[in-house]
Amino acid sequence: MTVPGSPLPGPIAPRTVRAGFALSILSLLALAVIYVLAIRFTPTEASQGFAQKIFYIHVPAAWMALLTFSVVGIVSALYLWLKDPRLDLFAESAAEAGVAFSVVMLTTGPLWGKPVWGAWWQWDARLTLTLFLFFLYVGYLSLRSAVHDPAERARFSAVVAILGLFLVPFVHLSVYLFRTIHPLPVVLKPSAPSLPGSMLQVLLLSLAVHTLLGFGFILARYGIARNDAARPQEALDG
Amino acid sequence: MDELPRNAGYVIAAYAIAAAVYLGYFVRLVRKRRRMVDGRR
Repeated sequence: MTVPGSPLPGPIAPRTVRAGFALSILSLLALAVIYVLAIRFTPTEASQGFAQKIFYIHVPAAWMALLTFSVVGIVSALYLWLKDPRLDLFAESAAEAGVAFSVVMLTTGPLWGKPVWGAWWQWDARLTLTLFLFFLYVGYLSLRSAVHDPAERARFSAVVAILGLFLVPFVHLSVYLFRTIHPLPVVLKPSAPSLPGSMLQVLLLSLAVHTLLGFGFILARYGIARNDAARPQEALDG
Repeated sequence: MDELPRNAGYVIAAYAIAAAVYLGYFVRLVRKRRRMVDGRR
């Protein structure tokens, strides 16, 4: 069934929303288990001490922020090519989740930096580029709420999202490209992961749970956006 | 009672902020969903 005046089919949205919420709830419960595993069942790192435990939530949040922003850029490029409004709605949904993960990344990082580096923040390449990436996607969401014509909004925001996509590899590779005090990757690198067994297991589990959580958020948000877009404009205004 | 490890405050703050952000975004989605359901009636 297609709602009159909209190119989007309607009935898939409630199913997508339900699946997204179910996945989000399960992932949030699994995240509580990760908290317990990270605090109680991983060894305390020798040089960083207890503060190293922040790593189990900071790294997965950073992974999800970069992953979702990459998805936003790729899906936006596909939108400019195919002009399918579903791609634009998916990009918006992923950008919202990406900003949430970025907030966690940018707040847990300084909370680790203060006890380990002795400073909340350093203007080094990794941290600065990450902050700019966050600002870019906050701008992306602001732009979307400022433009009311759906086609114009989709086109303008797709261009911003593609620019953000170019920034993502620089963020990941900044620790190799520039002199930076940020630690090097321990999992996403050409050689084998450099972590002892139980630490690596909890980190990989946390990465998986965060990935499912992000997928749940995006799915739920996308379903809601599909439903809103499929409704006639008068219903949304009223 | 066991003493808290050194720097435990930073860890507790980080975990609490992460939980608050994820739960906060989840609640935002729940509100949007409620509006969606109300709009369909």
